[in-house]
Amino acid sequence: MKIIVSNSSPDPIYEQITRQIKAQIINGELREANPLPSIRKLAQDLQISVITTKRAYEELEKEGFIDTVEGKGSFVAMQNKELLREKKMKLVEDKMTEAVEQAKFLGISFAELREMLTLLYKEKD
Amino acid sequence: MIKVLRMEFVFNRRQLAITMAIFSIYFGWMANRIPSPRAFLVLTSLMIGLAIPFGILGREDKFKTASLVCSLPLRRSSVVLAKYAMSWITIGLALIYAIVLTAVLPFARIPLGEILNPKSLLISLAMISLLFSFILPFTTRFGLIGIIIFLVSTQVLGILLLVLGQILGPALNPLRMVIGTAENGIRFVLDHPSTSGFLLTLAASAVVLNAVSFFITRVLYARKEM
Amino acid sequence: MSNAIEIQGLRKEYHGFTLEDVSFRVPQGYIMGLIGPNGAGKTTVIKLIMNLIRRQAGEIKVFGLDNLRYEPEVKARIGFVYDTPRYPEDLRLKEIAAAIAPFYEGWDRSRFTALMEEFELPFKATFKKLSHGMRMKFSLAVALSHNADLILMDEPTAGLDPNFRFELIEKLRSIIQNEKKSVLFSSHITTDLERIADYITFIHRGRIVFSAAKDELLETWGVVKSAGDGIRPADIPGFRGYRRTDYNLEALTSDIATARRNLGPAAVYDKATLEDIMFFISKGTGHD
Repeated sequence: MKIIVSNSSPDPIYEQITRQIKAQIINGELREANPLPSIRKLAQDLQISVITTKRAYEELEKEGFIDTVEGKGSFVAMQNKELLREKKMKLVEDKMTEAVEQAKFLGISFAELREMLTLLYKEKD
Repeated sequence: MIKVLRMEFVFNRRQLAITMAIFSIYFGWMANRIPSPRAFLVLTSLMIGLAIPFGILGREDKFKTASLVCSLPLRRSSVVLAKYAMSWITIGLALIYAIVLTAVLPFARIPLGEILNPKSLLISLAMISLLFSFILPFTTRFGLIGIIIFLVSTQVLGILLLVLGQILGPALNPLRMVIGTAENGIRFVLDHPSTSGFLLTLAASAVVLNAVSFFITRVLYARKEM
Repeated sequence: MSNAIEIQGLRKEYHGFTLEDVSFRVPQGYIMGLIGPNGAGKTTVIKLIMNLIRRQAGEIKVFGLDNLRYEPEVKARIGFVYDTPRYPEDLRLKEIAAAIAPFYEGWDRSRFTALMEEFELPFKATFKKLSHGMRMKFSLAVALSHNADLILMDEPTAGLDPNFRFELIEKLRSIIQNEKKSVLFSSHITTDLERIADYITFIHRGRIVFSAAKDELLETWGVVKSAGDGIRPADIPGFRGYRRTDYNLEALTSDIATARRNLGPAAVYDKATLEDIMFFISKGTGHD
C-alpha cells in the first residue's frame, strides 16, 4: 500500500488517505481481504496523528471499502461487484466532469472533445 | 521504608561523611581538653543535636532534590519518617563514635565510666532530642534560611537582653536570669540521683519530644510546595 | 475509551496569578501537548498532577484514580521529566539510578542501559559535570525506563539540539504504538507539537482556551489576510484575534472554511500554525 500525505495540500490529511486507499482498492492494487496496517502503525509510518488514521479508516469502513475486526485489524472489504463497478464508474466520471468543465471554459466544442477522447483511447491500447 | 532510608543515606552520604570528620576532630579535641565528663557530655550532645539536622536538611534545600523525592511513588510521610530514622541512626553512630574515641585516644582524660552509664547516656539523648526535635520542623517550614534567621535573631535577642540588663541593673538582669535558669536546669539534671523514675522520665521525654516533632514535621512537609 | 488523565475544575492561587477552572482530559493511548505563553500555567498544571503543589479546588484523576488518595500507586506509573532536573550533584549517574530504581516495580535495567548508551551518557559521570542538555537526557532515560503508563514532561526539549529533539519526538511516537501508554507534555516549541501531538490544550493566563484534536484544529482554523481596511475583524466568522499593520489586517479564525465562503476573493486564506494560534490569541490586539 502506497500512501503519500502532504501538509501543504488544501485537503485534510484524512481525506488524502481515504482517497488514495479508495483508488487503490478500485483499481485492484489492494485486493479483497488484503490486510491493512493498524491505525497506529500507519500513523507512525506517515508520521501523523493516530486520530487522523483512525478517522480515515472509519470513513473507509462507513463507505464499505474496508472492514475492521476487533482484535484482528482492518482488511479490504469484499467488494460487491455491482458496487465496485459503480465506484469505478464514479472515479472516471469525476475525471470526465473535470475535462468537460475545462473544455467549456476554454471554448473547445463537444465534437473536438469527442475526437480527442477517441484518439487518446486508441493510443493507450 | 528501607528503600527511602537507603535513598536518603545515598543522597546525603557526603554530608554525613563530612559531619563525621568534623566530629572526630571535635571529639578528639574535647576528649583531650575537657577533663569534666559533665561538660563533655553537654557539649557533645549540643553539637550532635545541632549538626545532624543542619547537615542533613541543608543538602536537600541546597540541591532542591525535594521535588525529585516527592515525585517518586511514595507518600510524603514516608519521607519524613526516613529523615527521622536516618537522623537517629546517625546520632546513635555519632554517640558511639564519641564514646569510642574517648576510650581509645591515648590523650583522653575522661574516664569512660563517667559517660558510659545509663544516666549520662539518657541525659545526652534527652538534650539531643530537645534540639533536634525543634530544629527539624523549623527547617522543614522555613528551610535553611529559616535556621540562619533563627540563629541571627537569637543573637539579636541576646544583645537586647544584655542591653536591658544594663538598664535594669544587676539584680534584674534578664540575660543573666535566662542563662542562670538554663545553667541551673542543666546542673539539676546532671546532679539528680540515678533513680529509675528519673531515668524513665528522661527516656520518656526524649520519646515524646521526637514523637511530637515528627507529627508536626509530617504536617509541615505534607503542605510544602515545591 | 478510558482517560489517562482527567482534570476537572482545577484551581490554584498564587500571589498575582490564579489557575482557574481548568478542565481537560488526556485519553489513553494518545499524546497531548500543552501550549501557552510563559507564565500561562503549564508548569503549574503539571506540578498539580504530581502533587508537588496543593490545589485549592478541583479534581485530578490519573488512570481513574484520585491523584491524592492514591498518590504512590499513581506515581509508580508516571515517568516524569521536569524543565530543571534536580538530582544530588555529587552522585554519579549510576548511583542516582541505583537509588531510584527500587521504587519502580517496572524498572527495566537493560532498557535503562540502552538509553544511557543511546543518549551517550557516561554512567560514571557525576551529575554536577553534566550540561543542561545531558541532564535532561538523563532525566528522560530514567523516566522511560520503568514501563510508565504515562509520560509527563515539562518543556522536555528546551535547550536540546534539533537532532535530539527529532529523536525524542520519534521515540514518543514509538511509545504510543502501545495504546496503553499516554503522554502529556508542555512545550513552547510548537513545531514539535505539530509533529507529534494528537491533542492540543492551550492555556492562557491560568485558563483553558481550548482543548482539541490537533489535526482538526489545524484544518479548521486559519489566518485571514486582507489589504486595506475593507474587512473589519467583526466581519470574519469565527474571529479569534487580529493584528493590524499599516498595510493589512491579519485575523485568526476558528472557521476558515466559512470565512472563505463568506468573504471570497476579498482576502487571502492561510493555514494557521500553532504558533499563529498562540500569537493571535495571547498577543493579537483585540479579541472577541
